[in-house]
Amino acid sequence: MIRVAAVGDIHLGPDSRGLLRPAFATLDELADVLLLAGDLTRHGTPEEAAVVGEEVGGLPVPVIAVLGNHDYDAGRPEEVTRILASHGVQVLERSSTAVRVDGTLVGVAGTKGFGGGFAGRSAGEFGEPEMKAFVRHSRECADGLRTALDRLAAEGCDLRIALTHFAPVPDTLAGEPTEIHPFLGSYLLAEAIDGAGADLALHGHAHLGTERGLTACGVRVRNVAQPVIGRAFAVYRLHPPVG
Amino acid sequence: MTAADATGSDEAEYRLAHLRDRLADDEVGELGLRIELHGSHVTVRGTVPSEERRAAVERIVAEVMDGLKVHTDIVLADDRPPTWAEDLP
Repeated sequence: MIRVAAVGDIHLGPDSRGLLRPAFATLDELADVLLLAGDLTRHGTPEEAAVVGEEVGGLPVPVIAVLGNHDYDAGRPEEVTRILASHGVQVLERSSTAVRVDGTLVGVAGTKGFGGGFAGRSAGEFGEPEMKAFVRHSRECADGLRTALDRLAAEGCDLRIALTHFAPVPDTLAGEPTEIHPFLGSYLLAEAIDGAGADLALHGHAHLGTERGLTACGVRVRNVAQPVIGRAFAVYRLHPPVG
Repeated sequence: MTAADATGSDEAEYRLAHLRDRLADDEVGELGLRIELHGSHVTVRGTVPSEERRAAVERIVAEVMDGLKVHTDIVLADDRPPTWAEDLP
């Protein structure tokens, strides 16, 4: 059994230094890995990224993250990624990593993802260059996620987790105004997850949404935005397939 | 209709839209709040990480929506570790 701790949307800044550290310090008793589902900062400044690094640095479990839209706001996502990496956080973007926990190989594929909406009510890659660029970014994130999940399968992972900031399904947006769903996620992420297969999909971004959902092909989705889970992090117990 | 007619609820709607931008851009960086206009009343609900952030949000809402009745229900994020785990068989 593998215990996966996860949280997103912690939105840390200099005034929140030390806020989550006491909870994270309990992770060695509660979980085998910590996944961060983006929006770790308010505006993605190096100062804010350093606060995040201090909160999660040197923990007794591996820490794997994706960035969120807030982490891009200052236009310095590479710097944010470097600062987090210097504190031991592995930041994924259309990439994957695997950790071995008691003989079980757990793979995590991650991307920020993007919006566009959900099947039947989504934006298309059509018309003005700005619209095409919007939808293309979403598609490229989803394509990258699918490739990363496929790679984890090829590497023989016993369990595979899809980690995104934007939502792959509308289920976990319940509570958010439907008018803004196209800005909260994209069906392209769910299509990638269902296409490649995964044991769990985690995302954040939708503060007013709900925790539990399911993709069309039955992959469990959990919205781990901190306002949704109502605690410092959630823990999910996954069971590797027998045999 | 003249520019002078564009007052009351219509104008409040525009101010509400600008409030969202202000909350996102300002030091608070809050996009996850539900803000709604009900006639001359504004409701704001959601979760923020700290007391300081809540005070900043309340200050900005009062400033931008000046003249309207503002009702807030902003709770603080719970920073304690979970007491249970969800089993996913």
